[in-house]
Amino acid sequence: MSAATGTTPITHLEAVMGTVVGFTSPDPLPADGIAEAVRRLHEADRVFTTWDPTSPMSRLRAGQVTLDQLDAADAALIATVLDRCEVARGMTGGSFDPWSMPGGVDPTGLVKGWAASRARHALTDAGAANVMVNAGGDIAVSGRPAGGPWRVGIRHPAQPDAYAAVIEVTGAVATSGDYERPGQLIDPATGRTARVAASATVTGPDLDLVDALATGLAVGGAPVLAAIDRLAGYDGYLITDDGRHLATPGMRFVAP
Amino acid sequence: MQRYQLVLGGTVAGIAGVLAFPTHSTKLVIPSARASATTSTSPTTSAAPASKSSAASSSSTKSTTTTAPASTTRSATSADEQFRYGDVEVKVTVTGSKITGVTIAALNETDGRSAEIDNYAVPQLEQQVISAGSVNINGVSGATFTSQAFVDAVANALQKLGIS
Repeated sequence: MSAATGTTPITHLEAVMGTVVGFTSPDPLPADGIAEAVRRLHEADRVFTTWDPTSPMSRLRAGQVTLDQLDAADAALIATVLDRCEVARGMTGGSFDPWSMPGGVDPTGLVKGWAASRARHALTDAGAANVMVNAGGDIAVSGRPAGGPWRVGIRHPAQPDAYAAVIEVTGAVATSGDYERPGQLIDPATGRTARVAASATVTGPDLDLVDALATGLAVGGAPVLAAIDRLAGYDGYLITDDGRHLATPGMRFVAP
Repeated sequence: MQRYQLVLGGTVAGIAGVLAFPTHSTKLVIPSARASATTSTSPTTSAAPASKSSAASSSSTKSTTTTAPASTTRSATSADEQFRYGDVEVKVTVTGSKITGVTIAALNETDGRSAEIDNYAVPQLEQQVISAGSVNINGVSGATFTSQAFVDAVANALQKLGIS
């Protein structure tokens, strides 16, 4: 989260889900909203982490338990997330497919965005009209900062200290690539590590689906971009492995 | 899963920019295809490690220092590195042990839908690199590292040159 001139200050930082989640607002954020948002983030981490073999999701994946045998509240969260995964699988034509992951169903590609979206709703419900929740580049916003819409830099895939573009965001944005943690993208068609995009960005109303669509776009490339173009409210921006920049017409690029 | 084809000429000409090579701190400058064709023109067919003589001719083409062994310009082309839609070969030029150029020697894409891809092209963004600190933003979204296929290809070419 590089600082920039005139940037709205980050109000709260929370280390969770293997990343740092920042809440940013031009206004003071309500303490109860922050507390509930933080609680939801840690809850998502506890239920869904695949790093911990004893997490509810890990035990489900390993076939040690069925959904019915889990704590009812945890099971409800997992059922909700798997429903959203199914929606995302359909939207990407199978390029995002948690059911094809080695080791059993793995909704990781959607969970971070889903959790950040829930955190954003917690803040909004507590009265925060203008807020950005940034979970390691998965960003959900409401309202706006002082001086115009929320502006997000899309990191340049070849230059970590530079941006390829700046876009305006009114709902959510996520960017996927194979680079922060090489090997994290699996192509459902082959089960192997997938490489097609240097950077795949998706904007839209819901961060969980946006997150999954970005993963699907990174794996599926331009054909998925065409699919996103047909989804009302969603847009995509793809930087290919060989340096081409492709975007749907609705992506809101702005001058830096 | 449908596949597509990129127009090779447009693709290679469009590659201009700077790559950060994540395993080293060196920045790799990728000249455009036309520029590289005039700067480092050793016959790409020869295996580079054995081609001291052809390397000398390539450095003379460049008309920089020609004699000092430490600044001899050599180049090598990697083996094909597979990626999702085909394979890529990268040609790396070094002067002494410093990388002076990286170009795409071959890019083979399978199955074609180039027309549809071109509808989405935003070529003006290909020229754009916005340095952090010069821009007013509220957050950052993005992946960090260079394409792994590209990195693998560069590493392979460097290995052929005896630099790893």
